[in-house]
Amino acid sequence: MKPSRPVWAWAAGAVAALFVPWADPGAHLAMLLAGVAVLLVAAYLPRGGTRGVVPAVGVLGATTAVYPTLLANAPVVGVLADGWHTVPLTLVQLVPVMASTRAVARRHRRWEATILLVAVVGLGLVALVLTGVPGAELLSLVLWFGSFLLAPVATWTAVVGTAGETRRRAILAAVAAMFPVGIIVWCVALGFLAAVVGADEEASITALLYGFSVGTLLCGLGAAASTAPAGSPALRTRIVVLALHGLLGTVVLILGTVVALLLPALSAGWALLAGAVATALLTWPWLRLHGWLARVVDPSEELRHELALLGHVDDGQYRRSALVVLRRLVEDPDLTLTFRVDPRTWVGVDGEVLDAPPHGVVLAGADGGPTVVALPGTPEAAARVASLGDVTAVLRPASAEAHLVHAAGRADAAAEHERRRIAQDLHDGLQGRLLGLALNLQLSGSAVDDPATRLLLEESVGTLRSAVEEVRALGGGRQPELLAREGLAVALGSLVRGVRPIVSLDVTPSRFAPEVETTAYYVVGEAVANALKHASAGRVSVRVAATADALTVTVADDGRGGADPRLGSGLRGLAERVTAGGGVLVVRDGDPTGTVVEVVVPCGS
Amino acid sequence: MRIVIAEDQVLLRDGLVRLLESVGHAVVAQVGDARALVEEVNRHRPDLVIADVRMPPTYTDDGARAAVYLRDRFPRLAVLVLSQAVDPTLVADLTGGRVAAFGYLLKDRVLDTAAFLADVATVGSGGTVIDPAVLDGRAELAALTEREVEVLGRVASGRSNAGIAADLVISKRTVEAHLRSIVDKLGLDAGPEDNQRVLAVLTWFAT
Repeated sequence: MKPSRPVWAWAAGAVAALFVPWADPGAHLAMLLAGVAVLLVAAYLPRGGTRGVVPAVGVLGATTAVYPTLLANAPVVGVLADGWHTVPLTLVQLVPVMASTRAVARRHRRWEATILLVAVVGLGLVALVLTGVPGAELLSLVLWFGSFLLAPVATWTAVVGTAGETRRRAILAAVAAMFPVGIIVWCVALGFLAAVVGADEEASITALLYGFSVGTLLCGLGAAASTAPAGSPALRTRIVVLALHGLLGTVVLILGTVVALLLPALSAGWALLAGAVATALLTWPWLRLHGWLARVVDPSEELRHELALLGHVDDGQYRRSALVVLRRLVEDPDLTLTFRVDPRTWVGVDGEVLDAPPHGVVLAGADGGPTVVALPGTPEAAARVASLGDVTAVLRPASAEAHLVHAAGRADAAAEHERRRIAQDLHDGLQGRLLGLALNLQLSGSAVDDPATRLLLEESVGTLRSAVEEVRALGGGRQPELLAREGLAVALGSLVRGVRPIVSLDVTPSRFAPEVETTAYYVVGEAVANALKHASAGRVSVRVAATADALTVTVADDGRGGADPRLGSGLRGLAERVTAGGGVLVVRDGDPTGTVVEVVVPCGS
Repeated sequence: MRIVIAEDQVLLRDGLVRLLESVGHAVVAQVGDARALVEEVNRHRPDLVIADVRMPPTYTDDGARAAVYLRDRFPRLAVLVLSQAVDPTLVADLTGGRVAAFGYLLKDRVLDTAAFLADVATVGSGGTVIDPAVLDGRAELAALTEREVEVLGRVASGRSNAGIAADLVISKRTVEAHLRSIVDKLGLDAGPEDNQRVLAVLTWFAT
């Protein structure tokens, strides 16, 4: 099936409908050609799954084509001709409803049944009219014209709740459903013209047929577009918005015409002018609705638009900018976003891992399930977020960024873990080997007779022992397990618990690099021990605080004071460790008495 | 005594074997990983096991876990654990509430051959030996005097009051006074029996 054929059929139908003269046979020809064109369109609708729409459109085209023939032979098939127009008019309503059903994949059977039922009843009433039952005429008219509202209601309500391509299909079907209404309006307008302005009857009928052809053709085309194969140009957002504009434009035109017609007192010229003015006035709000129309067709359009307005986004800021824009759009400052970075892990906007899968509105998904979930603060915000539909494509940069950041973090953590493991292994291996060496030398030494050799061996052992102690003191990066697991606040709490006199703690709960935490831990331990041992302090306060790039440890006591900076090998050793880490250790007098030990350790973020 | 040694550092292991055999112990097996340790203990049923905490396959605490397992399975087996560095919580886990025939020493201690052999004998005969380094760097101890810390270290090593008095060249009464002060300052709940005191100390340090 070549995609160009429906276009040809449409072109042929349009040409036929537009350029045939208004004379009676011409109008009939127009209908014939319009019917043929619709048939051609039906012939090239995609098969497989378009249950009912293709044959329906086909029959619509056929009856449209045949109708003029029947009319021409009106005296012979009078009632039939009169009644025959119900068939195409009924089908004209059914076709968009069927297309909408197919597009939205929802059962519209009851609507289709309702339309058919009303049509049949209407037809029956028409038959009654012909037999002269009073009141039937009015009832049949009401039923008949009222039934034309069924298709628009059915198709427009089907648009609600859809998203993406389905939504565009549903909108096209709904636009197509407006054409039967248009035909009726056209019919009424012509009747009004004939009654009030006294137009020529022949011309009226011609105009009616002409309007019917165009209406039917456009309705068939709309239904065809609605059921076009995926990716067809007919389903592009711009085309759908254009279709909606066409609808609105037609309404504006109709209203302008109504204004012109409602001023019979004025001469034709003034009436036309009034009509033109009315049309112009209505055009302005129509054009203003463009943004709203774009949003109706594609709710995620607004999100895309706002994100595009941000311009250039720095690396690492995609998630945050998406969050800011979303919060603004749904008017919820408490909204948060969560991203799925692997089958079982969800992270927030700043990369923090969540404990449990989030429950919120799914914004984006892949075949494995949801990938971006929004957590709105209020139910209204939740509804607004849900109306955005599936914004997978729009949020792709943010989602990819979340993946990237998470993976990089895991890689970093793994590398760090590996580094520490290697350092630990090196350290422990070295210590063990030195020890083994020392032990063996020692044992050998005791078996040697020569005093000089024995002395040499003893010295060697002594050197090795010092080496072993130094290596052990280096620690190999080992941390007290509680510190490694829970951090400074918990570990220090455990360290000073049960100490008398009481030590007051003010420790930030944040975590830092292991070397930084270890240094701080030992500093506090040593400083507190000194305060209690040497200064006979009554109160000791420990404060650990973090600034943007450094950790500050302050241990103050109210003891004897007179701190000697050379005091204690413990603090001296720690001072070396602190300076090795790029920090500073200061011991000074407290105010009014006592000692303050202050350590600042850099800990870049 | 019949001893099984588990140590992956070959040089050190050799030295230990030589040392122990030089005073008449029988090293019935020497292994380099935790699984082999359990197998050999099963096969030979020794009196004492000397094991390194850190061994293959994971090089974290395989030796320690094997030790716990063996102490459960063979209640009369004496176990001496050697460690790279001090880990008080690990000590508490290892003893599992039972301090008899148990020892925990820093590897460095083997260089003090005489003391080490004495510790081996203590553990082998059902006593308890805990390396005094377990007490290092604990701020709580700042409340204790130097003397009291020494006494505490010896309690942890499983010395009796008489033994402590002999070590520090002070009278038994002085030792008891120190102990009362320690118990008071640290808030310990110590019983009269030696091993119970060690247990109390360990439990307290481990928390």
